[in-house]
Amino acid sequence: MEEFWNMRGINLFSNLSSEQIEEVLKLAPPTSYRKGEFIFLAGDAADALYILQLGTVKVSYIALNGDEKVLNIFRPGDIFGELFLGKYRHRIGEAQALDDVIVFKMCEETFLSLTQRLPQVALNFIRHLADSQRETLARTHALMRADARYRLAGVLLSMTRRYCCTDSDWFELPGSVTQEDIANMAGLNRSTVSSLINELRRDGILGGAGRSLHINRYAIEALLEDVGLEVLE
Amino acid sequence: MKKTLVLYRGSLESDETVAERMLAWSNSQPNIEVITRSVHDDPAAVVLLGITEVPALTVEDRVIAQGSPEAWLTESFLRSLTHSIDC
Repeated sequence: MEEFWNMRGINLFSNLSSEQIEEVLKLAPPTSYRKGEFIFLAGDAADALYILQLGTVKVSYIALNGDEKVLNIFRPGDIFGELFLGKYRHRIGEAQALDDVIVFKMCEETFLSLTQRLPQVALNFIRHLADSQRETLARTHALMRADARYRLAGVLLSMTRRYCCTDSDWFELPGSVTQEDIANMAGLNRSTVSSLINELRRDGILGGAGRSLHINRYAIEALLEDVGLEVLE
Repeated sequence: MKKTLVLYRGSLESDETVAERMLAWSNSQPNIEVITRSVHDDPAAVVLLGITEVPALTVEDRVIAQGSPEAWLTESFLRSLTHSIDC
């Protein structure tokens, strides 16, 4: 069953045999969404987790003052919507496709049954939760800084670490992620982010022009370390 | 016998532009045909092929290029396709 080789790139499926991956796929058929469509909304019953195969998904919520707060942006291989496994049974945020998206939706019953039959899935899931926790800590650490420049740098480093899979110093942020999304992740307004991006471009920490944003991972790490922020890696 | 390239595309306008360019190019290739498929018509195929970005170009169920067309849809790439398929 060599055709399932590519599924091992998804962390939840790592170390599974092809036969086991095939079994998982039968239980969680893929579904597609077009740009702008919602995968779930705040208030929906939370009863499934999602594994992203294609595209970019934004999870956000609308604050009481009407501002959008971006909780996270997901790329292929990521898992999202899994917090229903705790005590909260309703979605607190909404998940929206930022471009063409394909996800596997795995309902709670299926997931729990799978973890019993394939303990490796449970182990992979625990690893995923531990990595998420660490990433959240690093982001929180940067966001606690009052200085907007370092809050922005913390968010950009977090995204680069998750999505940059090459040895290159530079990582190009997906075009579907806008400056407004970045601003909403960092708790800043868009015009501040825009001027900070220009400033960081002049300093050689960011590259690209217009909507194209390139991030120098090592330069961002050095920037944060210079002001005493631990980069937690 | 013609070799078939399958271009998987999303619903964005930029994907449509890539599809038009690939189809126009294939019209001048005696040994190559290009067909386009929407990822929304067959999500399972996208999963099995391991496509993580669109547009994605496949031949014989193998992904040979995917993602931002600026990175792969070049004259030299098309020439190399013609050459490899003719050989």
